[in-house]
Amino acid sequence: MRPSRLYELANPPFVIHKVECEWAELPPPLDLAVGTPFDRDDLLTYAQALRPAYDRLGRVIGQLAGLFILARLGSRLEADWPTVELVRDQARLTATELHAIKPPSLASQHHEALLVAMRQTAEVVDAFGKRLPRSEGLGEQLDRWTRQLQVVGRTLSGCAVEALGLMPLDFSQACCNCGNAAS
Amino acid sequence: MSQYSIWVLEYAYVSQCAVSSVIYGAHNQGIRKLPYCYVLIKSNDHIAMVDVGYNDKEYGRYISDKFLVENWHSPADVLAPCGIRPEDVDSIFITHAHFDHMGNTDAFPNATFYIQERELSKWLWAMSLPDRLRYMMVATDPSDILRAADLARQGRLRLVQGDMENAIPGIDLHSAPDTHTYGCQWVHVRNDLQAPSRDGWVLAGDLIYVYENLEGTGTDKMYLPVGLALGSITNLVMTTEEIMKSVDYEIKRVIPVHEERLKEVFPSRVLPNGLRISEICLASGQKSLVA
Repeated sequence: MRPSRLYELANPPFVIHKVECEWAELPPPLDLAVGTPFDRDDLLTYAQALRPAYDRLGRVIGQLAGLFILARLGSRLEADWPTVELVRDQARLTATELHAIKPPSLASQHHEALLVAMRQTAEVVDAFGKRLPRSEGLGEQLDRWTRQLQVVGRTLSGCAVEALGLMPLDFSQACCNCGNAAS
Repeated sequence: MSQYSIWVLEYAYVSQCAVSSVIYGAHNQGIRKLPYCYVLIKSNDHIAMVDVGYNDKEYGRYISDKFLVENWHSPADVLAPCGIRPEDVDSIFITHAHFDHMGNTDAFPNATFYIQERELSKWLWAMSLPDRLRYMMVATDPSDILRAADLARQGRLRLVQGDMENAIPGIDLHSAPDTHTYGCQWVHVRNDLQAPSRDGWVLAGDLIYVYENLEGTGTDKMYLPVGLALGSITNLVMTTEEIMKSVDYEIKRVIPVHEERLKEVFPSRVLPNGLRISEICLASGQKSLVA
């Protein structure tokens, strides 16, 4: 039977899965599970401090994914290159902010999962940043980095906590579909 | 002879949507039902769609709780009454990158997706802005871009630069930059395969939500833009003119997919699950799904 949480696999031994393995799709080891009292001051303070970095990490992933598409299909990689520098700056800022946060014990695994995601993202940013001008084998590298980002994306989704305002997608503004929130 | 059959398929709905969200400036004008739909286009050679909806697995409960979206059904369920499986779909035209239009690409494992390159590159720009400007990426989900990157890896993503004729035979994509979003596109089905067409249909995505966007609310006919423009209202209105011109100003040939009154204009059927199929046109020899 498939465990519901990765941490159920972790004691002992901890298993590292290949990206393509279905186990890798499991959410990260969250300890903010059902029943957690989300109105605790320490959790609210943690989430408030975390949210800018959490949101920005999502945007970094989105930008990298978009740049991968343009690098693969577009003819503008060189023209878009300054964007890579912006992504790198944002990634550095996000890492600094994440490391500065001191999570309450209840959220330590949550925080650790995000640190791992950040580290994986930074690896991709650095490696991609070294790939100009476009060179042979870029396609294979992009394949690998795309899969790596998918893992990070799943971690980010797994770390979403609606009650604390941590969501990968910002629904807070109106459009056709979400303009009538009866909150 | 019509080449394609077109159906508008409801996959969820909001029972009480503020009118001001679908018609710009219509404040204090009450509420109405807002269906969420995508479009199925079928010929003997192709099964295509316009947009794919969102994935309830990701955000479903949050969306239904906060925005009152009800009765979401999967593409497999929604397409089944048409005798189609998601894996049968070969071409999908994404009108824009909002989560409720391109949030379920994973459900279509064999389709090639078409999206404007500008939509992608401008979202990239928006995501690169400082936190205080994050409104500029409203309703987009970075993970949708990640999924698109995986589509590119699989060779199933086409970046469209401006207009594209015959994306598949008789179906043209038209760019609408800086309107509802940065790189919207609308779909023109030339059902007689002729240019100019005398049997054209326009699938407008969110450039047109409801019939009032085309004919106004009073006796004096005029275009009223939709309630959200990341670009400009001017561009929205002028795009509406371009769309109308493409169908010789015949309103019925522009399909507003969020319009509940489609069922009054086209033959329609409400399924036992409460979702509607509207039959826009039938290809020669094709059986009706709503009779």
